[in-house]
Amino acid sequence: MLTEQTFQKETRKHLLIALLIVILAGSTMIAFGIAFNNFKYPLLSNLIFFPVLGSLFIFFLNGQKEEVIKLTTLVIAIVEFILSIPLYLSFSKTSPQMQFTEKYLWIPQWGISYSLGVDGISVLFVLLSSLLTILCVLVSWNEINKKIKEFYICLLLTHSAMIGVFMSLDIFLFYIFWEAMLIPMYLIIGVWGGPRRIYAAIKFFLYTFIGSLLMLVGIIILYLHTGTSDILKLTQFSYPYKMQIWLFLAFLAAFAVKVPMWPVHTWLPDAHTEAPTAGSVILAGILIKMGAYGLLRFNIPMFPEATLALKPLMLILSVIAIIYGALICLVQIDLKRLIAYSSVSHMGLVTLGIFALNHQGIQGGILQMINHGIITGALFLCVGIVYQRSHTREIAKYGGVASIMPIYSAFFMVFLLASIGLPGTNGFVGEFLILLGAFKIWKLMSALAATALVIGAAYMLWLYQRVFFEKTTPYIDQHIRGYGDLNSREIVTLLPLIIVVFWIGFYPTDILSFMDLSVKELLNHFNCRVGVAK
Amino acid sequence: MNIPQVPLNFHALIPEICLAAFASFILLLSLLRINKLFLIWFSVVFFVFLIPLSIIFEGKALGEFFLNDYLAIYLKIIIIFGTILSLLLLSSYLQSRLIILKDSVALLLFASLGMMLLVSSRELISFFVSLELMSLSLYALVGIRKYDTRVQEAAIKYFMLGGLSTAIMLFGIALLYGATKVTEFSLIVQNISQNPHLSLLGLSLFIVGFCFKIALVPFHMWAPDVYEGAPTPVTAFISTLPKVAVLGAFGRILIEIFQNYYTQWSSFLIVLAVLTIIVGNILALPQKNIKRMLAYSSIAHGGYVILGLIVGTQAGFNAVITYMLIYTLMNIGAFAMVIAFNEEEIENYKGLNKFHPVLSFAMLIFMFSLTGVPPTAGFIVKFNIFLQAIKAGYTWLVVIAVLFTVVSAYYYLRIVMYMYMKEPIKVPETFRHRELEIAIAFCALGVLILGILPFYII
Repeated sequence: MLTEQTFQKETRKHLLIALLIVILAGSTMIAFGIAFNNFKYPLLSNLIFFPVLGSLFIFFLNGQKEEVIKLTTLVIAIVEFILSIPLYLSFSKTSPQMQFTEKYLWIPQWGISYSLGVDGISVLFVLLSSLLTILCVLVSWNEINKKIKEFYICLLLTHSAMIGVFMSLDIFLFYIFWEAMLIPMYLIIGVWGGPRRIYAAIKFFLYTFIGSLLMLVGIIILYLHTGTSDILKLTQFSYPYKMQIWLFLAFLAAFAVKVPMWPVHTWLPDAHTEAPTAGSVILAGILIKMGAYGLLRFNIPMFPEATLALKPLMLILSVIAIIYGALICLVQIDLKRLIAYSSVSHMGLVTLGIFALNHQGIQGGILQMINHGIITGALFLCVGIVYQRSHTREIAKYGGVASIMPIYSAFFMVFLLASIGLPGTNGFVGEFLILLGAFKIWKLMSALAATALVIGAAYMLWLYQRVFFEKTTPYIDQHIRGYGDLNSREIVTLLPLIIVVFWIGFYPTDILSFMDLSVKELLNHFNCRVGVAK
Repeated sequence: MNIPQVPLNFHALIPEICLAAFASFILLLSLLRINKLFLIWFSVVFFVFLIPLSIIFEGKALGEFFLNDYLAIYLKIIIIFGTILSLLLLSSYLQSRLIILKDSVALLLFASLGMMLLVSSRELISFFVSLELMSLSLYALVGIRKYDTRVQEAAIKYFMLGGLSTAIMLFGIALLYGATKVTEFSLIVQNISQNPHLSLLGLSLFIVGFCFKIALVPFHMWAPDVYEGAPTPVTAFISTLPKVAVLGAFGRILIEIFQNYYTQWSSFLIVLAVLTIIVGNILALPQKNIKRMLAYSSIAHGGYVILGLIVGTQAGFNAVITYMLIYTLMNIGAFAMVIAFNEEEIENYKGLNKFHPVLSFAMLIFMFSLTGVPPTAGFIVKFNIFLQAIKAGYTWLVVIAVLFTVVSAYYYLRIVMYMYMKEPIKVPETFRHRELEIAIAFCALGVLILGILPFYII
């Protein structure tokens, strides 16, 4: 009797594995079919709606079967990633145009269409989001232990909404995705977060909401002025100078909160600290990039004269964010909070690069966004891994982790050095390009920003020393020793990021070539318009 | 004074005549011993048949007394759907709660008859009579649970203040008639210039009565008490459909008849809109009772919707109507949730998600829709109103509305936060009822689907 049951269980397991293999192989074949046959396939819609359908499927699963839910989500995330590979393979790097475009009339009364497409600036974020979602599923495997079904549904929906933001070519659609993302993210922080999660979730929601609603007013004004909601067409109009300033500020209200720029950054440390690991990874990895992406997609091409007029202000705000964020990091006593403030500092670098308004600066800015997504995402994953063992984020309680978890320490070291910007890692390339671009236009600002990098090295290395070296504290000895070093799931989670860190570090051309022409096009457009204005 | 002969072309009134006959029939039927649930479903089926009926019979009735045109039909369909939902909600009060069900069904039907007449009336007397038919049915409906002192207080308050507003409005009508010597709207337009000062006075009294009915600040005092005191299905009904009907009727009067006085009435309404948005949203923040909170929230929504009237164009008015459609869905849905959770204290909403995931998900949809977050329909209609207002040059008004939308997000999200993020303090005694669940599902799906595919409604 018993053996028969075990036998059935075994058979079921084998069948399940076979099914998984079939699904993965099938999606791979479809993906490569799309990549190499170039037939008209609505790939972007597929990428957006596949996780939505997947979450609907999970919704109908039995909530008690936790393993099944986790596995299903993992399969959905992996299939999603495989399906996004054609974006990498068959994206034409020789064209600055939008690619994989789709366009259907959506609300004919207002002339609003469901219009998608990616160019060199946005395509990488879609890939990054797909990759990070897999890692989020993996890292949440043991961490999330209540309302598991709801959590994975929220995770998938957030992913869909975020890639929707990067893909939409219609300003109205953009806004829908931009706001829709708030709902699952609010729940992720508020339901599965740390002790002060409710405060953090509400703060996150209200900060973002007020910015986005001001942007909505800007969007309506833009729409009424031009009569179109197509983003590409909107960049072709020239607006009166005064209107440009106001619209620039309205859009900035939304994007500055998301980036987050100083002084509207205060939601970020709370949200990052209180969110579960997966939430922090998504926030740091993709969500806050949407702000900088918005600046590149809307503010600079649409309001060039306002950009030129407000450039000094933006640069000063960026440098304040860089230095302020770095200095705050020095006094943090909470692991996650320290990394959160380092995000403020690094995102300041990104806006500095973008508003340098030259080729190196913008390219560096975009590359730094990708890098920051990978590095900070990885650092949050690392903190999440150790937090699951020790249940504390207080730096003072740590010490001597390296002697207990050597592999983990090595991983952490790599990401940490990448965050500082050590040559050979991806962080170096991005920061170097940004500082180069900024140096060309305002030497003082570039120099000030560079000093912050020194502070960056200081707080990161000091953190490493306090947590990993020195004597093993009794607390750590008691809590961590029992678990041992990383398990295979955790290694699988971190390994792809290590590869990307070195890949971009040694061969950045691979990534830079994606955005090269798009950035050139953006700058041409900008210089052309500013030149006309003069 | 010569009494004009009214031609008896009642073709376009056939749906209303059917409804009147049916309501009287229900009143008679309720004398017999009859299954109450049957009564409800019978009425629901009748209303479903009323939809094609009111679409078919387009045109004028009783001379120019009533006009059943495209806009009136749209409003009537909203009223019909709202009544169906309210009937379903009412059926949940069948058992165990002291309520005179049979009479309340008939009263509900008479109230919706009044509304349907109101939105198509094109003449002062028919306008007033339909308004009174609606209001009187509502006063009685609020007091339907006669052994409850809270209900009595609400009913008396509603009746007194409603009577006051009606008197003011009647005075306005009298002045208007005195100034123009005619009662039909189309003729008033022509004669209005004969006596502009008197008609302007009539207009302002008219607007005051109107503000009472849709509870704009500072004429909102009755709303929170009445909404809190009335039985919840009745609250769902009176917080939505009378507003639809009154806004529909008045909007047409203001936009089509008093177009020449646009600057006067719009400046008056702008002040009220700003006050309403600010006061409604701020007073909703500290509320501990969810019905009271929803009352203030519906006051605030009145403020947003007035923005569409202030625009003073047909497009603005269309935005108002679509707003009212979605508002009806989400507000009735929210009140249906209050019935389902069987709980009025916001504190007790803590941790409800643990016990009722599907119901709390529906509540989440309604709350985000009331806030106006995409992809719910609440966003689309709010966007539409803002679009029209900015088009007319009222950007500053929209900025105020937007800032207070953020305030509103706080109290709507508090419900979501309590349901999803707090630990439960007690086991909820929810109220499961088939009709109620049908109504909730209809509202939630409507809000979601119309949010993603909005081209059906605008």
